[in-house]
Amino acid sequence: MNGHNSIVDIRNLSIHFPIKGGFLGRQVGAVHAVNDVNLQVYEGETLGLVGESGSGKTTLGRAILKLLPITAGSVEFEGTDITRMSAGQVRPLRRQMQMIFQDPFGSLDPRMTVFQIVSEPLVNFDMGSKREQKTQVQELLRIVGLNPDHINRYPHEFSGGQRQRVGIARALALRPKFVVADEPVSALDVSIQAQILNLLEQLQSEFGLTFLFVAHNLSVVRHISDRVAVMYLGHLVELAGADTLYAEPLHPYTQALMSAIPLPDPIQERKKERIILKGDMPSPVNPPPACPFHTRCFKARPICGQVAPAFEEKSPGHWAACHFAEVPGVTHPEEIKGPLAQETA
Amino acid sequence: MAVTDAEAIPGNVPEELGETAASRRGHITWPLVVGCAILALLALACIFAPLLTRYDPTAQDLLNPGAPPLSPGHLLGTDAPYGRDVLSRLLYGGRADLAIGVGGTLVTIIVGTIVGLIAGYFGGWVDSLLMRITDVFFAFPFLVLVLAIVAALGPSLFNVFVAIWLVGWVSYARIIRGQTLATKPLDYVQAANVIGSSHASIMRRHILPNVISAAIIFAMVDAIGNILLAAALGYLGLGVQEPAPEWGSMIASGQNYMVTQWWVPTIPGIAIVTVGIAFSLIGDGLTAYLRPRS
Repeated sequence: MNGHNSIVDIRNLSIHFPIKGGFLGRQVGAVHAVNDVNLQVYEGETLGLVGESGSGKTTLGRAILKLLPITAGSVEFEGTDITRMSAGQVRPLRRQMQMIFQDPFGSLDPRMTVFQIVSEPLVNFDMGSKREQKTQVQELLRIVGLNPDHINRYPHEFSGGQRQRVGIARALALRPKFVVADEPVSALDVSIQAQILNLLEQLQSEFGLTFLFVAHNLSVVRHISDRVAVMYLGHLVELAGADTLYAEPLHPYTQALMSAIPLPDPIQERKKERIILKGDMPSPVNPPPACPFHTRCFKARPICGQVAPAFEEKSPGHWAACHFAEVPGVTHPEEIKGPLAQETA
Repeated sequence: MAVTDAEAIPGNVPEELGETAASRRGHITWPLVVGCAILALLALACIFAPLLTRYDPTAQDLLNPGAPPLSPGHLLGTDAPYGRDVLSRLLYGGRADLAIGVGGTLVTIIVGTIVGLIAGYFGGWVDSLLMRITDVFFAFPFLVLVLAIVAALGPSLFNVFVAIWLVGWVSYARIIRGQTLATKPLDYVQAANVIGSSHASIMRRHILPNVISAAIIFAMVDAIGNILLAAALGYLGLGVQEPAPEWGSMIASGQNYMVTQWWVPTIPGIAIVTVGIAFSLIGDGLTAYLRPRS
């Protein structure tokens, strides 16, 4: 893998949530939250995972941590297949993989003190005496930029940003290698977002962390990520180094996303060409056949509704799933002709 | 550096945040204080009944039946036709009623909470099994079921307890299951999973403290219900047996003298109402007290 060690290896992962209905509660359908995703997270990197609401990015993040049942495919963590492990078997691995939650209000138990919250992982793994745990918690609070004297306070006594720091301290308590950060700043004020992002970057170098950074804000992801993966309707549609992806998006969906990033300069912003996608994302209960994006794609042609595009390496390290992925210097396949189904630009 | 972020500087914390552990609960309101005070007074009076009255509750004074309240030696008068001291019957009788209110409710809340927690947390067939059992109990009217059980086991105070224990947990199981279902998907429960907490510890540390307040508040209503039930069973002759005192049976035996000796049934009636009001005040107060701050 280009000399990279992958810490997480996801192969053909699908997660479908059954829809029960009818008199006997039989399964009448399924939400196809994640479909046939292949992805490796390299040791020490930050992999950004972006997509709209409902694209399956959070589901994917939670599935890696075995918080959800996996329908098909496999997840390996440091070479260990955790797909079929029971809750008890995964437990020891919790010391290696942790999670930072999106909602700093919902992710902290309102009836526990900061000490109880941050020391709980230590208690679970019998790490240290009560006194040692207290010292550790104070150290963790100091690391994440909180006052160690606030150890006996309750979550409601803190601001959103401070609560998120408590959540980060809890995730770090076990000194994990791999952390899924599930939109860790999207619930925060813009002014606080930068502080938390800086903190995460600082912690990454300090503790040698690997991040899977789930977000819907492209600017945030670009700022923090080494590589970026784009999801649409449960499918991985593009994966590339952050700079490459932002400079040369190959997939039409990524291109549309990029064109939606506002530019700070109002004159440039006005001149900028925007790709407006029509309609909403289709329901994951009834996903479109073949390419999931063809119903909204401005480059769609008949083949897109018939043959699913493979997720291929279009140029070194740059993967995309599109029949018409434009790589400079690579021409379109000859056999595909006909008018563009939709062109907006 | 993140460590020096403005929001993280200790001095920047607003003044109101200086509160400590004691402030994690809601406020103690007057209904809670008044309710607890009434109940505590009544309970103490019943427990220390021998110090407050020199009469045996079953001792008859056939020469002095139907003495009105404030008669010499009988603060609340005597009953008819036996001339038993109403105050001592009230206090001794209150032991049975309060014991049912507290003991009956305590056992049912514990059993119901455990069943509801397990059903709501594990879901699946465990949930289906436990909830079908509760459905069976729910299919019968509560009072009819209790009557049937007491009638089958034989009328006695202990069998009233047994009947309440057998039937009363069902409501708690339902309440706690619903609350557990609502709490389980919350992020802090998911977070507990991620940091390696076991099922038992998640239920005990994260779910139970956040769902129990609904059951505790319901328990206050339920305690009144259980006392009324004990009184009703006493009234029907299925609870505490004469001549042992109990508020319900006191009303039952006094109702024939309602016109001439109104205090005989009225005084235990007032006692029941007072306990009811006390529990209901406590329920109101606890609602405010147990609500977590957000």
